[in-house]
Amino acid sequence: MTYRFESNGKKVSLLGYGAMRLPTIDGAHAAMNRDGCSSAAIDQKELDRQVKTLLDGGVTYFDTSPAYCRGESERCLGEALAKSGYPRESYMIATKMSNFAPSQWPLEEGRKMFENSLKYLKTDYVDNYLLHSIGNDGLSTFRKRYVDNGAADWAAGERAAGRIRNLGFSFHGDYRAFEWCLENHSKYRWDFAMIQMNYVDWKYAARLNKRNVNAEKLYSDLVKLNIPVIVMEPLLGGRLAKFDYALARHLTPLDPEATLASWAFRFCASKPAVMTILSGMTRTEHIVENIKTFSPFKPLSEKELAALDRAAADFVDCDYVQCNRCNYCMPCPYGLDIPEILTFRNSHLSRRPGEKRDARAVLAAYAKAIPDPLRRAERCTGCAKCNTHCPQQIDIPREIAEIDRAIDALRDEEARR
Amino acid sequence: MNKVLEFVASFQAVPACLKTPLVAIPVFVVLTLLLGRFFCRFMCPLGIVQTLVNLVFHPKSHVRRVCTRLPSSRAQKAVRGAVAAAFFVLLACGFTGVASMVEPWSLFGKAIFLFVPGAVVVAAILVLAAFTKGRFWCNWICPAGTVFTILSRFSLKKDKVAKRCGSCRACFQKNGDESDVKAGDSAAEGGVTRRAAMQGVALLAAEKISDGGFAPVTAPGVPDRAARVLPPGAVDAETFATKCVGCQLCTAVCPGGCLKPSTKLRTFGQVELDFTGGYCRLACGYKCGKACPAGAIRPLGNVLRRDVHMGLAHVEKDICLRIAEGVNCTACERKCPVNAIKIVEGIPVVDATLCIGCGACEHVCPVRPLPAVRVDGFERQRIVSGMTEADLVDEMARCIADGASSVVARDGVIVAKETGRGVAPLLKLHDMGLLKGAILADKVIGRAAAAIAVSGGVRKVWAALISDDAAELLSASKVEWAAKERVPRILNRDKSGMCPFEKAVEGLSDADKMLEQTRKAVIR
Repeated sequence: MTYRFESNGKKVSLLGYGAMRLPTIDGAHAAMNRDGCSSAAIDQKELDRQVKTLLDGGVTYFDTSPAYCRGESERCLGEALAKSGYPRESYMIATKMSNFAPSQWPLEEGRKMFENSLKYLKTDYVDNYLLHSIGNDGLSTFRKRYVDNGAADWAAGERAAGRIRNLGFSFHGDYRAFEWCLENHSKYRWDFAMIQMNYVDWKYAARLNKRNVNAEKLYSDLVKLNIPVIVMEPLLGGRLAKFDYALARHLTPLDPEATLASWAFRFCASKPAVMTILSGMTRTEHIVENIKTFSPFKPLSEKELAALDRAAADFVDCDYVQCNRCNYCMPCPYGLDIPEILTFRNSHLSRRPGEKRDARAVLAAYAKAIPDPLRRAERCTGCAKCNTHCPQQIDIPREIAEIDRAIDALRDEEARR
Repeated sequence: MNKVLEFVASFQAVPACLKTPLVAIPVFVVLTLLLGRFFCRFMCPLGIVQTLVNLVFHPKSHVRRVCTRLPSSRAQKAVRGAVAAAFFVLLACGFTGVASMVEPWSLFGKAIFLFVPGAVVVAAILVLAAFTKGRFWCNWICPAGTVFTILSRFSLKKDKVAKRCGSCRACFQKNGDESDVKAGDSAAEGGVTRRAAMQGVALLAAEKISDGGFAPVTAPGVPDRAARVLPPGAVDAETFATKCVGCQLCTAVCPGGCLKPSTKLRTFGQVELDFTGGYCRLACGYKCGKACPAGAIRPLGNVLRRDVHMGLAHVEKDICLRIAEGVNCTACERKCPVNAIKIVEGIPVVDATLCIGCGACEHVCPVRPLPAVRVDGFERQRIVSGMTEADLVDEMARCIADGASSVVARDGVIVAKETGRGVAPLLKLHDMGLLKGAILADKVIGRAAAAIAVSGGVRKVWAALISDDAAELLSASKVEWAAKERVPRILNRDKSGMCPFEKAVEGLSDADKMLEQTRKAVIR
């Protein structure tokens, strides 16, 4: 394992673990694309084994949140870490103030959330504490969540008291919230910042969605203030790890043995200000593979960087919906399986040059992907509650309406037979 | 499979007599007078299956040479007489649904298409048949069998009955023969139980605190309708009630999954529209009418599907999410295939001149336990003289004049409008698969746009502005086209040169290749 930074005497591994896509007990028999937090209970035994594997492999950074996995992530991770046999001083825990619901905005609720985090994580301090997704739902929401209620000041106070070792924030969404944090750097002295970064978002995030800011810009903003960078979504929710022709045709020829995931990790690690790269590894094989990628980290050559840029450009040209299956949109109040619907669109309804679509096969795949008809696209009411939660700023009801129209067109084709 | 069943259904006695009595009754009478009870033996699937069962349970049966007709006991005569009398009285009174519970084709159809309830009855019949070593159903209960028995008394082909019946015990069924009719598997479509649906569910989930997981969902219930909604072509509800024998052939072919047997006593087993699992699809082209062997649903052939009004949607304003909960719900408006529901000042309003009662709105309405949109059937379906295709194209042209870039119509209805610059809107419609067999109206059709239309399988194009080359390409690809204005070439936005998309496809002739080039130009 490669270690680049040191924090309060602890070595920070370049690969970190994100506890957002914990293994679930239905993982054994559910379809492959059901990775991550489904409705099923978390598979604690599997998680215990995985955490042990991570620690054995030299991973020292564990990131969670009170909101992850239907609120189960902190408790399960805390249990697994406690059981691992490693002393608390040998690894770092990061968690967040995930006060997304308006009822959680008062500072009292935020403090309660922090106390609960300590309890669930079975510890009396957290190494890294984050203001969670500061750009979520615009600048005014950010102010209500962290500024007007004094939550940011309280967190800085806790840092001075030692229950929080480092203070930072994670950013998705409205760039003005990011700017506000940087402008107030002298006051809060951010110890780190977490941004979405990968070789696609580096130069093309804004192309994918006009409301996004390229990772290159965010990164250079942070470098200017000497704030270490923690990377999230290095694989775009696994989309940069799964086989994709647009990516493979640029990368595989350079090193046929290297996995697509390893390219994505090496890209992020090649940026010197990166402290750790978080990956939500649901499967033990992913953990083993990724540890290998970082043992030790091999820097990228100019030629390889150029190939990654070409791959990113090709990937952006595919008309994918940029859903990373983070599940922030879930549960949809009307019961839709939003991540599955959007993933299905990418896998079956996206344009692929020269491909003929077989209506029957696509509809069969749709029924298999979302077996319950009451959770399919046609049930969307357009209430747009999900939009306030989506860190990728996808206009979900609009996408879903389009998916439903495309499905209807296929059904009509079938009906005509 | 369905084709075989439709063929078998076409010569079944009761459905045929209901559909075309003036032809079918004489034909069956004459044939029976000539051939005896040929129908029960060779044509009725239930009769054939019973014969086969008898064979299986008595494979070595020395074929009955003594008698070819079972002697009837007094009890048997009484039972079949009573059943036949009840059947005809019920039929005459219009209780076709109840009456057809003892009609053989209907029973057979129910066994195949409804599986559980029908199959239990048919299985019982077959067990009895095996037990009595005869076609128990045909000879004890079936009203058609009774009529044929009476007729066959006068038949030229006399059945043999031993003079001193009672002791020879040779009464076994004659060998079954040719038929290979099998009761096909028919797992009931993954429907939702209606009762389960009636338990209420909170409309809005509690405030979202953590990520992931599912909110509970419940299937919608079936609202009380002013009148049941009947399939398109079941023109008159009263006539339908006397003709539908509930054989379920139509439910098997319905691509919308919305034709279901009624569970009400008076119309038991007869089909009606139920929107819990789907809705009536415009594209299907009257599959139910084509399948119906009893003339209960007429095939409407050339009538435009959206001109057949089966019912009308009503919005229960006080439980509609928009009004009751203030949720910005657009489900019914979005799903309506004929654009008959519009949200006016926040309230969903149904345009009765457009609504056909297809049930799409009721199907997707999220309100529970009963949906807030309900379709009421018509006692008499309306076949309105709707728009002609020329009218439709005019309407599409108006949309273009109002600012839309591309408009697509299928099955006589505008299904999509897109606004945007260049060919991007059209490309999007292409990628969504909406262009196949469609009519397209577009602001500007150059060669690039024409290639997209050709590649997507558009049938007819209307353009506010068309270039000579594009017109040529469309004609060469046998796509009908019309335009308001024709120009030699399409210029770019500031009229300083050629349109960039036209440049991208210059010199190419294959539509798919041109499409690829256009795509690249759009991305740039």
